[in-house]
Amino acid sequence: MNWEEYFHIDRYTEEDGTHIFDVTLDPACDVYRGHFPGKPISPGVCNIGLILRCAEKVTGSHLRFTSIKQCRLTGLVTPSDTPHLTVEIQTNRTDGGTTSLRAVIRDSEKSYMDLKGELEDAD
Amino acid sequence: MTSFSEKSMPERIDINDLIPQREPVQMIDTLYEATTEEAHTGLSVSRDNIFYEGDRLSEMGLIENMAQSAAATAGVKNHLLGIPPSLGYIGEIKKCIFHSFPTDGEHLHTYVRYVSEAAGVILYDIESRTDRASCAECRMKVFIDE
Repeated sequence: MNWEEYFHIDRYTEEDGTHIFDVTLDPACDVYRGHFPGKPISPGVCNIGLILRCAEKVTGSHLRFTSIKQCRLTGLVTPSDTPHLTVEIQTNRTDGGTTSLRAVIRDSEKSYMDLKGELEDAD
Repeated sequence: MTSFSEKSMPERIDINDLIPQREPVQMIDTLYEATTEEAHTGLSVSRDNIFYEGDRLSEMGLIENMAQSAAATAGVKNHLLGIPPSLGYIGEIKKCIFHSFPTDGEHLHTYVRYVSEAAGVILYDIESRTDRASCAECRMKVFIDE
């Protein structure tokens, strides 16, 4: 998947160990042809991918999930109704070379996803 | 199209009748079995798949395959009632472990087991594997928009 078609980052800041990405979803992304025809809704897995791509910006390495302990999807995301999202990420490098991740996707109105998982270097 | 097992409907059914997802994000291409309580689905993994990244199907591809396999189970209920598949959304993913990632040319088998249902949210245990190795497992809540 071409993630640059799914979203772009407007702003990246860091505050007390929390990495904050302001992103905009692109309604022209190809996924919306099939999810769903005539009713574009952002697939939950694409927002998991959004978190992963932002986490890579934080660590500067190519990452993949080894596990997702919990991921709650608490609101529908669409490129028309909720195009502007904030992704907040905290990472913690462990001794074993893996990275613990906590992330939230929200906007000024509500939270859409919270995720706890473990990452490893993909390369 | 594939025949259902004797535990389920005796007719032949198209995947499009069970799930609302369409290309390029349809992540099931074979139905080996689908009842209201269990499903066994297949996906021929190709580098052309939208969720293929580098030299493998990504985590996101595996999760979407598991979610659509669960949705197929929910879709059987609609099909029996003669109505189109409802839109379904992932509500929660828990204890999701990635063991390995399928590659171009491999066939992914995904097994869904219904656990419980409450207030329109259905809980499933799901695992996916190739002939070679286990790929992923998780417990997933799926919200069906009736």
